[in-house]
Amino acid sequence: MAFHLGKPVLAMMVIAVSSGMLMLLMPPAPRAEMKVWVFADSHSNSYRTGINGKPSLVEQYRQKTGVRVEVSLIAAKAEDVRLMSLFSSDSANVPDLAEVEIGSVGKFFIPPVREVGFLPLNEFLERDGLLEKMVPSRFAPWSKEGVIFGVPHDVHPVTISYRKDLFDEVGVDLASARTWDVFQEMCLKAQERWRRKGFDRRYALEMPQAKTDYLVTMLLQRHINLIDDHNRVYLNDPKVADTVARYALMVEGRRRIGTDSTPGVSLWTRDLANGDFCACFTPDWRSNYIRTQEKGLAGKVAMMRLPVFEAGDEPTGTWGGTMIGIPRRCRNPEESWKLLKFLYTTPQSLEARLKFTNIIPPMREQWADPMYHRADPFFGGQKVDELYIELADRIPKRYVTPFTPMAVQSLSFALGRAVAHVEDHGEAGLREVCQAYLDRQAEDLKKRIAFGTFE
Amino acid sequence: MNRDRWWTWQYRYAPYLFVSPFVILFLGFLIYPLAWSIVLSFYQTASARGQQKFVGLDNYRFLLGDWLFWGAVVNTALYTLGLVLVQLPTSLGLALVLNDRRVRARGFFRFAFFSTYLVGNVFVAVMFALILSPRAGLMNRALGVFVGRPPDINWLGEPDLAMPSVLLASLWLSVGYGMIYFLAALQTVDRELYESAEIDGAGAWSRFWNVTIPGIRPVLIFMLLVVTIGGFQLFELPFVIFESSAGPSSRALTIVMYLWQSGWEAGNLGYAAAIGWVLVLLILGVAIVQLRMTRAMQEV
Repeated sequence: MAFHLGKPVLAMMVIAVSSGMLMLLMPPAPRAEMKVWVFADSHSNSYRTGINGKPSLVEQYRQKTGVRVEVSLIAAKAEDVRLMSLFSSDSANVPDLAEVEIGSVGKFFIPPVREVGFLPLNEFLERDGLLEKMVPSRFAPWSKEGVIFGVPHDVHPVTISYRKDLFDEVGVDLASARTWDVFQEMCLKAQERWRRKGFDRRYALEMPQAKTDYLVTMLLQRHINLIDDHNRVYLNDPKVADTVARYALMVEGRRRIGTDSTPGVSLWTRDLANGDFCACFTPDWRSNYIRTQEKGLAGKVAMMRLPVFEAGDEPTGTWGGTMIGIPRRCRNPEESWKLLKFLYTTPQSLEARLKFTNIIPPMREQWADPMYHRADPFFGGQKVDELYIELADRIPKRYVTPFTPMAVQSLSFALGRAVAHVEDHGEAGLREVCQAYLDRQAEDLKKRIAFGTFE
Repeated sequence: MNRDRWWTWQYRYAPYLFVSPFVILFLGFLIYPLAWSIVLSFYQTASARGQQKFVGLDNYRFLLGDWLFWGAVVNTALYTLGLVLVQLPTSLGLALVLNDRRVRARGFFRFAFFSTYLVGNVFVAVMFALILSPRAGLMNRALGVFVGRPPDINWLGEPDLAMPSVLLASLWLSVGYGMIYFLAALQTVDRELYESAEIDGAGAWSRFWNVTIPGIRPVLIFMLLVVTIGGFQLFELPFVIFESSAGPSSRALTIVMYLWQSGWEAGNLGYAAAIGWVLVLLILGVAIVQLRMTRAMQEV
């Protein structure tokens, strides 16, 4: 039999028709009644994977309420773009809950409060008494003009984890350092002794020359936000100039104690295991990477508070963070709130969170649970979660506005300038150079804020 | 409608019917967004429905005085210049070698050099982030072979090395791609011209300038334009290598990255649209200058 359009066309038509029929006949996948968007693999695992023989959290929720929940893991940037597009188009096709990372939340707060794509949660939080139960400073990043748009997933206090075995080897008790000056001295002493042993490229601390995560944490220790919740600029505060200068002296010049880690999501743990650097900043989420990826370090690492610059500083900062919010156009805000509470405040959810992420929850009353007070054999028997909990209530307020990324970029320029100055001229005139540069950057930032403010 | 009229109607309108799917998609997904982006560039946006404020030429005015934007322009232009100056001669050189019949296993080498292009930008970026990493990075180790021990060069942390690092990755990715075009062009040059030139006493260099280059001129011009336009649109490589930041002291910030930052990180799509249109004008300007220069060279 001949087909007048030719055999290839016939073949294509047969394939199209048969595959179309197949799709029509296939039973549709059961539709989830509620959708949750998350960006972090570990968060997704904590919701979707059962522990200790118990079903997963979403399954437990289904058993309890009969509601089927679908957790979608979406790359952070893709989730941002999708949420922004959905909010801009006022689409009702939004998830019932969405987790957002602290670095990207600012842009969602550009519109006036009544137009922000997330639902204000103050009433829900007050009604269920969660405002008092959670660490108050942790609501700051997720709020605009006092209106709270997200429930914090975490507190993320920052400590320093260090290779106790390597520091002990050279007779340096790093944990006894209470100030950054003493800490730097001790690290220099350790480095000098390592050099004598032939480790001439071993540095004491992971400390990036160009990235600003550590620097921002140090500024938070000193209660400095580059921009506050009213978009006031503190970029050129003398304490910022001082911190930038001190940081530059730790990563460049003859008193250098820091080095960059290998780029990549978690390759830095290998550097720690290799002894390329022997200490690093560890918010709770980061400590879990060491534990799970470098099992050979068990018993060799210890944890300490951050040293301070001066009296009044906090021995911790905060690094990273996640909120969960309810999109304003979601199908049923009450149902979303019910699910949110189940995923964020129930004991079983916190147990799963600790298991998959080692993240300390912002709910104070749960800190008394014995699971946060166990000796950790990986950290040589130290009760590291207890240390995090001690620090959790001391984390400074961290504000995030649409202009925070710009301010951080300006800070990175200043750091680059400071490092170059140390390289060329050493410490002489460093603070003045930093201050002058930050003054110019602050003026520029104010112009950008005036240009970009939408009210 | 009788049969004759039906056929006349079909004859007249069938072509329009056939092209209509393309036209509808073209209008819906290219022309409309393009036109809308021009309109958007006169607005300030706030990523919420109805939240747009007409600002006239303010976005363009601010852009002209925005030193971050001009920094991105300088970074991008330097990268493009480097790409044109290194990629085109290298691709042409490789093509010349692999076009020579005396070279054995030419097919294998052609594929080997071209294969780098098949893996894509993101893969290459991830690979180069590791190759250029401090200490264990392959680049430092390779340099160590020459200087005795691996140097401690912070390729991705030093502002001055940020763009050269991106350029290195880009060359690795695209030299083979250019080579394929030049190979195709070289194979169209009449071999008799080489023989005549040889009989006339022309040396290798003279044959290259007077036979090869005029013979491949259209492809050379095409490549020059494509590489320039591609250079100005640089985004994925630095974005992935520097983990979505602009690199040390923003020295790896490109125009498209700044557009992304403004639109999707700062949430001002109006300003991002303005950056996009200025980029179009920049590329158009550079392309026109290049075409005029090559035409002038042709006339000489």
